[in-house]
Amino acid sequence: MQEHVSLMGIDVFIICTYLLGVFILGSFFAKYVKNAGDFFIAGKALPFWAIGMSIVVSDIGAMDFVAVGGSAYTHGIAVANFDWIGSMPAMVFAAFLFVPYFWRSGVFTIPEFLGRRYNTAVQVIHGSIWAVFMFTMLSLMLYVAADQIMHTILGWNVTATIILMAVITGVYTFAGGLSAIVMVDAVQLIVMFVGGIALLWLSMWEVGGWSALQEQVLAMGSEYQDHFTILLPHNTTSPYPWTGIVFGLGIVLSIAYMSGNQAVVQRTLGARSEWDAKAGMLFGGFLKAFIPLMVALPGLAALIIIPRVTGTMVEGDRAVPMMIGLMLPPGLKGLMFVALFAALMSSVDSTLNSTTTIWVTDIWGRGWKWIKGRDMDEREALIVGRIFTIVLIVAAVAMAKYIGQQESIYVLIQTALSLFQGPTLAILVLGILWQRTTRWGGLAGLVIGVAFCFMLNSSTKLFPSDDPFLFVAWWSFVFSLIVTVVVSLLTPPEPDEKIRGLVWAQVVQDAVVQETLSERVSE
Amino acid sequence: MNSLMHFVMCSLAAAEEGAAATGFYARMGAFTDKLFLPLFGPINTMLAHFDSWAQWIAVCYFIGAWVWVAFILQKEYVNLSCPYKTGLADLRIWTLVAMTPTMFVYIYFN
Repeated sequence: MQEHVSLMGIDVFIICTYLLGVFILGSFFAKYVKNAGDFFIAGKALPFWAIGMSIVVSDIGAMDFVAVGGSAYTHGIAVANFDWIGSMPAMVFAAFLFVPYFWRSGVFTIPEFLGRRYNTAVQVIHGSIWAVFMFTMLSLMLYVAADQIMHTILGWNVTATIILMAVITGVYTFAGGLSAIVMVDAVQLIVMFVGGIALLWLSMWEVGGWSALQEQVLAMGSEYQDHFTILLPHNTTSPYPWTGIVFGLGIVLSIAYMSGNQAVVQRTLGARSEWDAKAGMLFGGFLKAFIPLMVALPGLAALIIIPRVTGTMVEGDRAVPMMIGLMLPPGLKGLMFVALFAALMSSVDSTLNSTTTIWVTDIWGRGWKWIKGRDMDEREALIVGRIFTIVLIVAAVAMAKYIGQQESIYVLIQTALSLFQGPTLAILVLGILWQRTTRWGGLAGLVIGVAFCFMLNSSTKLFPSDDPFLFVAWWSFVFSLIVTVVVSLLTPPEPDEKIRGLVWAQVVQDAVVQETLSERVSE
Repeated sequence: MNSLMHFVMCSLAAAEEGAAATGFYARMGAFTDKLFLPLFGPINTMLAHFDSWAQWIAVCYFIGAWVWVAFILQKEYVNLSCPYKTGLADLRIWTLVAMTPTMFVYIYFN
């Protein structure tokens, strides 16, 4: 079998036309950007359908097609839990708990909320962690997609691919801001669905349909008996036992992700009404239900098709790229690569814009106020936002190869962030829902919770799974809740004027607070 | 989400491997096991008894989320600033429709 997938003339034409089209469409929205509000939150004009489509496509990266298909090939359908129970309930809670709260409280980022609810140090620290994390992700997305997809599958030059992707996404993100990103994302989702459905349909046709696929995989031996079981037993050594999936993923990690991810929050803040923001989340959750069909099922079909054609099994991450090479005819192959480009570019543009927002709002903006004694005006914020967009994308390109090849850097950052997920969600939820939460309670919950998370992660015997990160997330969340509540009750309550407008019940029900908030937002 | 989870898994696994080499992490792991095993051992045993309920616990989670939206939150709060007059724009209905494909998956697959 050849090493690289060969593209015909029509495939190259489709890819070039698509990249040019995206570039022109994204740049078109530049004329609508007049101030920082237009740049960061699209002038609050986004309809629900665009928000939902953009949330989904931002969440699905090019590597998902390869990595999730590969996990399905290795572990079975259980990997799809991340897009099913790991998305829909969390998006419902985000839609009706967090989105109205952000809309009405006038908060633009999660660190900004934590700063107002606790103190400025918490805002800057939390904002810095997310900003560094998202910048690292930006570099990694560019490198991993260029190296492991475009280079491995097509034989393209890694550096040239990184620069091509960065220039296209960087220009329309710089020019059009969130409006351009969301509208381009909507187009990219359609392209992704067309490419993904083509691969799914051809895969199913090749194996003889769903029932035939099940029969053939289950007949492969005992190690494949759980490949169609979505909730594995608690005592499985797989990373996906049902208890971890329901509690660790469904309740903690997914809600932390949907409520704390700036890329998601920012789209809802750009909605033309609160109803559109909520409806956008629900529409996005509905669309996400279909993603595993396009990324996981071809991975399962590869268990049958690849040995049939090549006579041998392959590593999980090679399964989907080989399926693309084997299954798709000229034209559709080009469309599939366009889908991969779409997945990569939509993730890059969203991360770039959201990272810029956090830098400008929570780090640069705080420093500006400290030095000049006033907030940035709309024009200043727009200029700073655009400058940061350029600086971040150039830095991401410059660092992409280095970060991608130095595993220890991103492992360190990712580990630090993963240890924060459960405790951060605990203090966020209590800070929003419980008026009695104090700054000392929040600080103790965060610090002691992270330490507890670190301890649990060091254990080898507490949980049956070989990779118990879902259990660690759940128990660190529970532990932090308890610590925060106990310490809050032992310390003096926060003054009413400090937390006015920052507690959910007040924000959504108290008429006086609503009036104050309306004035604040209109200012 | 999958990308994030993938990196979380990789980083946690790498942290364990890297720290195991230092010895400190291994000693802390042994201490943690000794301290918490009396607590988590019985919890693991108890949870294993609910394996046959897993499917319905997952489905109940979806139903619980919908009940919260449809019956606990006020209708005016759920549909505030809705630009459409039709009843089809009621987000309580949208929630149910949006959840149905995913709920079906959990009913079908086990």
